[in-house]
Amino acid sequence: MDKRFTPRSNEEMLAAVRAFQARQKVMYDRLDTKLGKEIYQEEMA
Amino acid sequence: MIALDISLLNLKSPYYVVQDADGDLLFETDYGVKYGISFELNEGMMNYPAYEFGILNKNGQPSPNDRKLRDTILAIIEEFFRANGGVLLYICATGDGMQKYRFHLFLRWFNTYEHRDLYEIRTVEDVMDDKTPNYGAIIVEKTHPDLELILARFDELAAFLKKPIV
Repeated sequence: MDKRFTPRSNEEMLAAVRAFQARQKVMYDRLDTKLGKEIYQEEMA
Repeated sequence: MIALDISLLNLKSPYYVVQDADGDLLFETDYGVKYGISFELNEGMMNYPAYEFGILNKNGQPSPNDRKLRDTILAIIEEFFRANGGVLLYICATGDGMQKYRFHLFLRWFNTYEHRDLYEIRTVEDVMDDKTPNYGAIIVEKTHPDLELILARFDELAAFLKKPIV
């Protein structure tokens, strides 16, 4: 990994933000699905 | 999947936390509110490896005075740093319009953490994306060898977010 600070263009920043938002939606959808179930179900089985 | 010692976490956490096969953390409060927490590695947002910290309150019911909830979340963050080090990136989800409340509650709780002084925290608040206000923060240990670079990259991200995003 390049550890020098190299400024990113607006296009690069925007692409990073949009990709982050898409991943975030997937993450929250996944958590929402899981929380709809009994949290300790697997633990108790 | 991040490394966490769930047994160690549960020694400190007031609420009993389970970790599922994906590495997500799940628990339920005394008031029946279900929480899910996830850490996902993201390199693009900061141009540096950072773990996105996600918290979902399934019931949508606020619990600002639940001290056990605060202590559970702080115990999870503490275990994250103990096991992984690194950078924690928290960008509030915006779907329910409660991001400002959630963000300030999180900051208030983190600022009461007994080891708060060990961490550098930077925030970005009230930046607009298509008329939606966004709130976020990074938390990184002050001893991190790349601290200066990480803060510079977060400042770059914050400066970008403060401009209208089109």
